[in-house]
Amino acid sequence: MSAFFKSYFLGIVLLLLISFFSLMTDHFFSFITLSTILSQLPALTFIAVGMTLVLIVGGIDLSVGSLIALSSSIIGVLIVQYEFGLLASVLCALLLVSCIGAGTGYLSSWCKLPSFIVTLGILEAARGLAYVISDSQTMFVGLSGQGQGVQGLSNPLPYLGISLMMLIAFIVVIAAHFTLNYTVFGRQLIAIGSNNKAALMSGIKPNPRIVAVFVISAFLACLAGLANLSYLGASDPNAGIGLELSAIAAAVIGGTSLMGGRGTIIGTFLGVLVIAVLDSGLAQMGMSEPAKRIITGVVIVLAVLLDKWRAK
Amino acid sequence: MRLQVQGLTKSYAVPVLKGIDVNVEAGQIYGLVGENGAGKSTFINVLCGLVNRDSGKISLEGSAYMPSNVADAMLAGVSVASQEMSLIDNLSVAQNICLRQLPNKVSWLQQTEITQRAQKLLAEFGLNDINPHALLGDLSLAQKQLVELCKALSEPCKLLILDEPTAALSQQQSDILHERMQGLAKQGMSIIYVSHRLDDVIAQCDVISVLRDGVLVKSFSASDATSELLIEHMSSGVFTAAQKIHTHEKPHNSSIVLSADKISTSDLPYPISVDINAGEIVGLAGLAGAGRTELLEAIYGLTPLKEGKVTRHTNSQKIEIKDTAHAVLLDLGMLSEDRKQQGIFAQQSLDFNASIAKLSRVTSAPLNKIISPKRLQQICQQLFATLSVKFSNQTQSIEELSGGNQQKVLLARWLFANTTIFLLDEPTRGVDVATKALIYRELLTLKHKGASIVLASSELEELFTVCDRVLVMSERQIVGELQADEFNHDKVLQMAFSNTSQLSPQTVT
Repeated sequence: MSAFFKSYFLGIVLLLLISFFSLMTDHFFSFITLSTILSQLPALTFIAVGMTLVLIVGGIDLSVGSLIALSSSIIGVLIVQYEFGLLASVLCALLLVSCIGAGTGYLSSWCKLPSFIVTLGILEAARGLAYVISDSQTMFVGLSGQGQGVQGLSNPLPYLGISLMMLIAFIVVIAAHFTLNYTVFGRQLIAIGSNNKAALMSGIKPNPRIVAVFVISAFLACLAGLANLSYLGASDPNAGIGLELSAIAAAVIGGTSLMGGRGTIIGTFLGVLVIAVLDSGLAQMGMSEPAKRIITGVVIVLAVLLDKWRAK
Repeated sequence: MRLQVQGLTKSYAVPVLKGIDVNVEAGQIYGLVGENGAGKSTFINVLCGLVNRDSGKISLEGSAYMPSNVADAMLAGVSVASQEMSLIDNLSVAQNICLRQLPNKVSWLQQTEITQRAQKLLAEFGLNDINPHALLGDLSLAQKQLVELCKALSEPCKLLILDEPTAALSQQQSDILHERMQGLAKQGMSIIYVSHRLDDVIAQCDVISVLRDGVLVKSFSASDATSELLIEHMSSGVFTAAQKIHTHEKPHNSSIVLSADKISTSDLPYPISVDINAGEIVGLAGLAGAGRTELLEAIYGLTPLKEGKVTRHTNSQKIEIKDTAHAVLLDLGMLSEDRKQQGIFAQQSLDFNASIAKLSRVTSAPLNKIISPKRLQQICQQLFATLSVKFSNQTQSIEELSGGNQQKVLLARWLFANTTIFLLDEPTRGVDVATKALIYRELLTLKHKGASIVLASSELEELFTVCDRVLVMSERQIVGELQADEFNHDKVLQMAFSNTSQLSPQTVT
């Protein structure tokens, strides 16, 4: 019930933001603006869902922004230079990046390293790897023979009005929400995050589940890389810089605790929407980039502060 | 008059203190007893400045006393050793004890001074074996409790408040504490002593007051008080009958269900063997640090075994237990002595806490991974009713419940999991008399249904009440076994000390 109320509250904040921008600008409440917002949404949605799961087990994943660039570069190189098919290159990237996630999980569970440090290292290393693989070049995938269908992933589907990537993102949100609330695995994640020792005493093995969560996070980062690539029609080794912080912000706005054990996927998705609406709305009002960042920063802190007050 | 409290009230959602009058003289030891949730903790929290009162007058040595925080209270000369310890795991013992006067810059000279002061305080409690430089986090619960007491006495005070000071202590350690208390009282210090151990309260206090539902129902002088009388006033007499359970029948079915075969771990250097039968309650007695917790943890698969093995015997086969997850699968369940750190999921709901050990019980085909919230809620509701858990809503978080009710929810966790072998470490610590009686009754019911229970406790009375046999541990070994007809305090104590080379109550650090 309280989770529902939280979403409800954030929904109101979101509606207020949208009405505010609609009143302040001429074109905000238009099909084009909204569909632009939606088409940019999938990447952040994917990694924010992954981030929420990681935060719930009491970890943090700073590597997802770099993993976006890495997976985008892998897919790009495979298509352009090795003439792999789209599906084959995406599967290769998913496998590789998931392995990185498994490594992160192993180091931060069995080896007891703080995930903050491990993923900070991977943030650097994966970015470097992306530059090496792509030779620091942006590659236009959409023009090559194998990559022609790529941009179709981000174009609106007939009748639905949203892109295939956005549709997948919605499915991921719903699946993650269901997993967290109605499956044994989901509850065990919450247990591990709220009290690791008590979880162990209750017959739950924390380590394999922590690994699973980091694999999921990396897997979703790879999907985000695909979303980014299809949106631009090109692979970009500079993609996703700092996006891990937006994902953390979205999760926290949505009521996820950085201490573990508390968080909802629906809340995180609303957090993603708040950030996206703010971003486009402020841009349409003609705000400069620095001003946008200042306001976004203030809104993040305000949102968490409000949440805290309401909880009392 | 040292402390005078008149008409003290405090409400949260509901009134917790409904107009309390208390007078404590200089040099008096004032006992306060009552069930969990009676308002004792709130009363103490008001006195030490953690909670602001709603109304009422408090005066200390004749002048008005209105602490708005703990520092105020200390300045006025009120010191508390609380149940929820106020110690910091990452600091040394000495730094913890002297925390209140830690200089901003710890220079070499002051560091030595701190160590010396701490050493002196520790010595007064006979704690020469606790190294003042040791990290607090490395100490046992009993040792931490004693350090908390030293900390409370680190500054001169007029009024000392002890909230369940002996909860984690062995009999010997409690005796030392009591001796020290009497000494301090003779020097003119006033002491408020809160405890669930009624015999201790009666033996140590000059005046004893019973708190029930936020009202001071009656005060006794020590000579008039008996535990029966106190219990009667504490619990409206409902559970007095349930207290007296003495059924040491032979288990009708004595097949072995669990055996530990020459097991040793890093904490248990000498191999230990134990067999547990179906339908029996086995007690584990011993001084603090004798290795009771360590033995339970080794059996449960929590600490890796160096040698030996723990085997679960079922009808058809014998299976070696590998780890806790495996143990739970094989119908074992353990309640840790440290409820907060190793038991509850504090922010989660009662249902979550009760069901987490065996969610597969409420999943449905085909995947057996998807939970039915309705069935989960129904089973929990029944269990909470059986154990008379007091709550307002099954979705409220467990941290909102009192300690006794939290313990009942944790017991419900293993009932939910259909556990048949219970490893219980101090299950009634810090729990009120009514809940104790209820837990004993539940243990006996389980036993009659054929469950096996290993019960580690530092209260011999408790072991003698419910156990069929008692194993005595000393210095990390089992040194003796008593059957129900041989139960005797002196025998147990003799065994408990048998291995100890010098007669110091703390054996291991």
